[in-house]
Formats: sequence, C-alpha cells, structure tokens
Amino acid sequence: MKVGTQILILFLSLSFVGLILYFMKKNKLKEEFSLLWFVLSIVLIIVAIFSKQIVTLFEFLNPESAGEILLFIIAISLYVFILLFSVKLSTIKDQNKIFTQEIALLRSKIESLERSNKNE
Amino acid sequence: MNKILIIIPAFNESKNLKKILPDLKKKILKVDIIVVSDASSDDTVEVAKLEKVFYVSHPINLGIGGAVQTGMKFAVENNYDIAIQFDGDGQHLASEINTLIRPILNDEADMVIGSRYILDKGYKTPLIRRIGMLFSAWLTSIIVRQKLTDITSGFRAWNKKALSVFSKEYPSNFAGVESNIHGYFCGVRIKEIPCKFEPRQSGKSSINFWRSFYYPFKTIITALGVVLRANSFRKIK
Repeated sequence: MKVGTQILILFLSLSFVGLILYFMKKNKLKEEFSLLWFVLSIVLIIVAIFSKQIVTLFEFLNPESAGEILLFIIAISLYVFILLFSVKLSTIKDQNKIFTQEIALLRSKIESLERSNKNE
Repeated sequence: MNKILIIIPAFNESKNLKKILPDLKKKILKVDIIVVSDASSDDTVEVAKLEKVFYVSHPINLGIGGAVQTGMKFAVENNYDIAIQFDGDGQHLASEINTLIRPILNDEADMVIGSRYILDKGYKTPLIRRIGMLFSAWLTSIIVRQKLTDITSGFRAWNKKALSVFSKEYPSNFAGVESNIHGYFCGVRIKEIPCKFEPRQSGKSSINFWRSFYYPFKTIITALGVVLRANSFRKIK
C-alpha cells in the first residue's frame, strides 16, 4: 500500500473516530453501537499502519494488494454490522408492538372509566 | 354460559363496519364485540363508538396480526371463554359464527379455522394467489401433521387455552402460517371447518398481486423460523 493511501485511510479512520465521539457526546449514539464502529475504525487503522504484515497474514487468500484485504475486511465487517442491526431492529419491533398494544388497551380502559364516572 | 368476544381488526374499514356491526348485533346475541382500529385515519373508531361496541385504537399501525393480538389480550384480561376473529372487510358472515365455534363448545379443538376451500362454497380467489396459498397450506400441513386448506383465513375462533398462548406471542403479518405452526408446537388442537365467505365489500386486500409471489417465500422462512423456535414455544405451553 502506498504511503499516500495509508495516510488517507488513517485520516478517514481518525475522522470517523472523531465523528463517533461527537455522536456519543450528543447522546445520539448508544455505547453498544459506538463500540462496533470503534472496532471497525481500529481495524482500519491497523490495516493502514501494518499493511505489509496484513498482506502476509492473509497470504492464503492470494491477495494482489493490501487494498483487496482492506475491502474484504470492510465488506465482512459491514455484513456483520447489518446483521447485528437487523437483530436489534427485530427486538425493537417486538417491543414497539407490545408498547403500542399496552397503550391502546390502557387508553381504552381510561376512556371506559371516564365514561362510567360521567354516568355516575 | 360461555363469555364470547368477537374481535374485529380494522384499518380504515369505517364503510364496511357500518354494515357489519349492526348485522352482527342483530344476528349474534349475547356476545361482546371489540373493534381494534390499527391506526385508522378514517372514522373507524367513531363508527365503533356509535354502535356502542368496545374499541381499542392503536397509535401506530401494527398489521392485522398485531390488531388481532390486541383483541386477544383484551379477551384474556376480561376473562372471555371464546374469542372470534371476524375481519372488518365484510368477507365473513355472521351466520357462520355458530358453526365456527361448535368444535370449541364440543371440546374437539382449541382453535378453529373457517376454510373457504374445504367445500366449494362459491368463493373465488385469483389464480396466482391461490397457487401461493396452496403451497403455503401444503407446507404448513406437513409441519403440523394435519391437512389444512386455508391457512390465510381470518375467520378463526380460539378457546381460553389458545388465547393464553397467542396473547403472549402472535405474528404481526402473515399470521396464518406462523400461528398455525406456533399453535401446533404449543399443543393447541387445530380444526378446520368449511365456511362460506363473501367477496370483500369495499377497500383493498392486504395480499396484492406482488405479495402473491412473495407469500410462498415468506412461508418457507416463517416456517423455518417457527420450527427453529419450537422449544421456546413449548415453554409457553
């Protein structure tokens, strides 16, 4: 990997870490999610710094360049992230359903009590 | 004397409800009715209020399964012996309700499904949708080891045991396939009986042309998911 490319990846990864920290400070990103993105950023930084060693490590994949390895790692990481988010979304969808049903049933009870109070 | 509740899941069905509710009240005596408005933007709730039936209104749309489950929760909370799903689109007939609940009253089943396809009772389904339904029914029948013909039917009745199971877990969409398999693993006795259905009176069905293609794939994934979770369902039982 060329030095220019390494610097660019390092710059982007560090900017990414900065962005994660900003969202955490503004309470727009929960710790459990920020951890995932931190891991990805750290992986990118490691790949940028130790590109030669990474290519050696992944020699069994017969890569042409460190860029290929980088793309491979990013693709796998994003796949895992999206899967984890889908799991989280499914849980939230279930919770959302329960809340909606409880709210609707409670509202119905309150309205019914209000009606019976008026009649008394 | 059994306490019976008719659950009507409704999403913008005010036009149909104006016909269905008076008809139900006239033909089926001694039952309670609850309209579950699934975030309707029309007068669904107002029609229910006007007809003096119970009503619950979801603040956001949950899909037909979510609306039916809300009705089931209401039934469990208020100690009903039998609950009946009666769709708000005008396809179900009040005159068929007694036939539907008979197997429950005779203790032959915990859940009864009114089927359009056991006998030719004049209900016409578009060919593409029918193929998708046939496949889904075939797959479900294999898993539940019982021949089912109309797994998408929204004309169903449950006793207390089935209500207890489904009020805890019931799918939001494509409820037919999943609830049948889920029920089977929870020890719910299922029975299908022939029933007459009418064409929808107004509005659009949730299963459109494209969904007819999607349905068989969804069935496979749903069936797989429920089979994989079979052990957790047995715990609910």
